[in-house]
Amino acid sequence: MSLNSYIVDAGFHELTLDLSTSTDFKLQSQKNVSADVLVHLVGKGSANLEVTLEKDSKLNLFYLNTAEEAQLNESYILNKDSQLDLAYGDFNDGSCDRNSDVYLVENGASVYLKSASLVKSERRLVYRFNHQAQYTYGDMQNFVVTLEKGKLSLHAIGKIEKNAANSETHQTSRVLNFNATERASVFPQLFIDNNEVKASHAESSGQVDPDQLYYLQSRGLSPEESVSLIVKGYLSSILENIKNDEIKERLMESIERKVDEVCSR
Amino acid sequence: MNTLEIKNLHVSIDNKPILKGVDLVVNEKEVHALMGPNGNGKSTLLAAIMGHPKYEVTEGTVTLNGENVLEMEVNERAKAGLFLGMQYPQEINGVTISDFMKAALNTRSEKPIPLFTFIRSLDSAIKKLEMKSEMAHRYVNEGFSGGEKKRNEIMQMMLLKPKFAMLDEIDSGLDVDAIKVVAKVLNEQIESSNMGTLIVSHYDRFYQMVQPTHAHVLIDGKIVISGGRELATKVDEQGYDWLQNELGIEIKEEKTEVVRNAVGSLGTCAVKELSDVTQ
Repeated sequence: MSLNSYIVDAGFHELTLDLSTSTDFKLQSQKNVSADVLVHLVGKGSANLEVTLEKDSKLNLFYLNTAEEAQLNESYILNKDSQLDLAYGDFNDGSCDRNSDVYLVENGASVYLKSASLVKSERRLVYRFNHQAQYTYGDMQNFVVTLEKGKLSLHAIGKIEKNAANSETHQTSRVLNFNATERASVFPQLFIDNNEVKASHAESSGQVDPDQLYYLQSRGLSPEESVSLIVKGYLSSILENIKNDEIKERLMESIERKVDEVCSR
Repeated sequence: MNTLEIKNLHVSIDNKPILKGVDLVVNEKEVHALMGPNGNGKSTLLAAIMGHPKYEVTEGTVTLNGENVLEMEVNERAKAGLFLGMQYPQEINGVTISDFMKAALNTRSEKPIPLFTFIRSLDSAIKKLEMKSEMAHRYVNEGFSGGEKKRNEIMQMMLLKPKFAMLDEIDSGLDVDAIKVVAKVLNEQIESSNMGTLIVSHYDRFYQMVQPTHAHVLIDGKIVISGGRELATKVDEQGYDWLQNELGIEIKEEKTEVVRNAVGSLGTCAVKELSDVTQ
């Protein structure tokens, strides 16, 4: 049982969280500081993650999930004018149960969440934005690809409380199914307790578009290569906010490797 | 010499016959203008040659240098040297033009194309078509205007260097300046790589810039008349009615609107299956 606690200073940090040995993980950013953190999730087990963003700080946090089995309870506290860019890359074969709460507790806080999941087993994801102050902003984009025995339930929740006037909460969830039997279930929910706000949600779900496949094939790509290209494109949207080119390359390569492994049948 | 030969081609869609015996030979360097009223089979011919799964060939052959095209998969036809500039190009979210073209070029060679060479070719093509260089990093056709989509088709043709390019109304949606640029590029490619082309268009304006060597009019699924350049001009000036008298046939023009874009995500409070493509 070990406690990992970090105060993040400016610049780039790469950390590994081994779920087999750790149960708690704390991250704290500093006032006015901008930092990028890449966390590798490995092992098997559960953990509680607590991340606090101090006033005016910016944190770009990317979780690369390669754990065998993960149960994660995450909470993010965002103070005044802080900005959290949160990205989840779940490309592991194992199951994952994640409950993630972002609390925008002071004015001007904002969160941009992007998640990409390649689902081969059971996955339950709950992402919740809690707007508890004015002028807070939340945008959530979820990209899911389900394969063979994959089973996913995704709860995308935006909650704007009474005192959170002039806030916005938006979400988009897209699911690509390769799975004839099980379908991913997406549950978008918006709880709005103030009238001077903006909120939206959009979902789409389906097979790979046959017209897209035909178009790619008409340029010489085989059906497998076409599907692979579409899936990689889908999942790599989460890399858009990564400024460090070397990291972006590395993550792109691991996405491509994983997709090739899974799509070449 | 490269030859694309279409013999007695019959094509149906949902058991409804569209092409009723088309004969056509396109040799390298030739420019064939394919005209005819809407709904009479022009797009069908091009799509059937490319292998669109919706179209069923019930009779006839298509050969490329003697090889049977109809037995090949869509991607094999492309690799054999066929290219189709589509009327309604697909939007593919998440896949950049650069990734798409790199994959398309790599599938044709044993060794992956060197990155620098690729970037140079892509940038050069984009520049020649007078498009912005950022286009390479945009998702394929996403948010593109009609004209940009058409120029993107030509850009792909420039990189893939097909033996035969079939262009389905490539000039629609382009303003005069864009048409000039596309025509220039097309003429250059025909000259430098001996490419043969089959162009579907209604407008003489385009045929003035890309001079056809052959012209055909397709009515009710058959080529009713073939000729040279002057046939294209006559159709532009007089339409198709004169053919009714001259050939003793009846012309039916169909107005069909087929929406080809599948919307990836919608507005609020609705979920839609992406497999619903035609409406």
